[in-house]
Amino acid sequence: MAERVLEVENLSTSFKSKKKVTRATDGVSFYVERGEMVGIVGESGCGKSVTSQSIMRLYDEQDEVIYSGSVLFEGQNLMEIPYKDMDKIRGNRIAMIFQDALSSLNPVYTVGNQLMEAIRIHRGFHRKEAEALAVEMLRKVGIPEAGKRMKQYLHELSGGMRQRVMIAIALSCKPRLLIADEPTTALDVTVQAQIMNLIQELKQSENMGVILITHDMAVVAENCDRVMVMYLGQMVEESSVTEIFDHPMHPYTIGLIRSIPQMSTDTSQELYMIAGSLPLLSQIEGGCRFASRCPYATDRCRAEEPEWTEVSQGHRVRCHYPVAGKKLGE
Amino acid sequence: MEERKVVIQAEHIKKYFPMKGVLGKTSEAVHAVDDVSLTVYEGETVGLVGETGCGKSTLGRTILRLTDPTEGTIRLQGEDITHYSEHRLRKIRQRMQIVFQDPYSSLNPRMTIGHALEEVLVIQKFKGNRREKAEDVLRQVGLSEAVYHRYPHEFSGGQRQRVGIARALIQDPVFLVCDEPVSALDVSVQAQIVNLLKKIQRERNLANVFISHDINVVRYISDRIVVMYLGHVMEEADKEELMQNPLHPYTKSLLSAVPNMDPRDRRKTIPLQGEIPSPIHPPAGCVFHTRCPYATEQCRTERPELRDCGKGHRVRCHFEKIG
Repeated sequence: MAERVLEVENLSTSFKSKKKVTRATDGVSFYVERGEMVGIVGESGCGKSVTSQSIMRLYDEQDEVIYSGSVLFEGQNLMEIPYKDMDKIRGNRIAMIFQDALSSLNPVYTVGNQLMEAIRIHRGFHRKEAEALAVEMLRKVGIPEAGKRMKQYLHELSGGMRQRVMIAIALSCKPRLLIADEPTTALDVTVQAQIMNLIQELKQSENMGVILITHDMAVVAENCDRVMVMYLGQMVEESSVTEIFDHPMHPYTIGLIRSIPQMSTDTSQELYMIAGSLPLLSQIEGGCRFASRCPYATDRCRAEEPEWTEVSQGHRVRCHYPVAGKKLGE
Repeated sequence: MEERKVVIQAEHIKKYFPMKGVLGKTSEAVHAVDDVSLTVYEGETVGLVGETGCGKSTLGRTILRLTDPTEGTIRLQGEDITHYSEHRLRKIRQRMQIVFQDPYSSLNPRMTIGHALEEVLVIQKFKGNRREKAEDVLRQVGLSEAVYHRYPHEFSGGQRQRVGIARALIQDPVFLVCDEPVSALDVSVQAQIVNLLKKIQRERNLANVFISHDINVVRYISDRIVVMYLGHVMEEADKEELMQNPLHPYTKSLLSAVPNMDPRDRRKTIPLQGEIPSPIHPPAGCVFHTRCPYATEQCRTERPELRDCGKGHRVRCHFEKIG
């Protein structure tokens, strides 16, 4: 078994507001091995981004957020170290890329400037060395005429190129773990293929762990080794990527897979639909969180929150009746 | 074959957006749509696919006369509307409607749903019972009449899109343009809206143009697919013909770039290198030649015509068989 880069145990994140505390994610546990890509899938509000930002401790801890659980990164519990020490981890040993490069990078600095800033801060390089490495990084992420691009601003680059710049910055410090939060959602399919290919290549060559956060099951199928499905702040299913497409167990996972039209979908049939819409977090009152939309929900589902059921090795599901889910899939 | 009624016939549409040069002189233009012809029959859904900046949305808007074409003619049910004034357009607008990507920004946040729907009828000087008509159309899009007094912010994305569809339908259009109607929605809701649009299109026998970057959604909902690149139609065919037998190298790479749901059948190669050239200076010859793996000297100098290959399959490529 490969070495685990990251082990998240029972991580919950709650946000405080004037009147109440909202628990955005609840008891999230998973791990990432070196050289492995783990997908976190779910729709808006499922807590996939909250989970990744909590791992990085990106929220304001003064008066906004309450964490519980542990995040073991290279043997160190990130939840226990002093907040200021996170600076040495963030962007250095754990790097992150986002959906929208334009709002994650600074429009008034050149590409080179921003790349070199990261390199100089984290690796303590001098200007000359940093510049050389920056050019090398741009080449590595497939940007043509790297020298010229160093002097350009973001608005001069296309969406795909901006994403490449962000990846170059993220990887310039040789992180052990890369968190990619919807890195291709805003891109066209041909560019998406290029960027995912690049992330795959770099994952191999740097032997780093990657967490891929996405709403798109097809992107998961193409790229990930293992998958976690989240719904309303909870993990509902976890398995290897082949297993989850062969034997999806949770009715929600099945819905996610079946409701996306594919090349092979019979167009004379109605598309499979997940009934209703997402309830608000505040509307949850015990029981299974998916019960209100599940075609197989029983009184037990509405009253009693399901625990994990191990279906096969490495495949677990949070459902009282995982077989019902299977029936749905057939 | 029975005679089908043509609802929309757009011919040789060009739309150039002039760019302000030095001292306000207009020297250059963005060639958003370049000589595109499109015919949509009654009861037919035509899917427009292509990547960002290919001109699919501009084409949709130009056909609806939401922007004026630089060149070309547009006929709605045989009536030439290319040069209609705003005043005359208002009378025919009820026959052609649009559903936008983001219904939130196209609904007035201070107007109840009922009010927003009835307003349309007031403008069209509808004679019957407006309330009844509005409730009827709400039911058709799967909302209860209880939403009548609610405001847009009280709805989820999917419900809001239903309201957007209701507002387009309340005027009983014959032609509907859907511009990325499901792109902003969550996966679980997307299927609901796709099913709804398909059902409504069938029931009302609408002529429909469905614009999307998602080729799987387009295939599911359309009868015919038009592939655009840099303002040009590259290929056009019945949907299964296009999916099974794509002829243009661009269509082929576009199809192969779509990730598929089988983890055992992963893509081995990158389908397309490089980036879309600038629409201000589109390449000479075939607009795709800068990225086409099979480009020859002829492709670099001579623009291919849209060639008919039979069965309504048309392709803009010099070569019969490629790849």
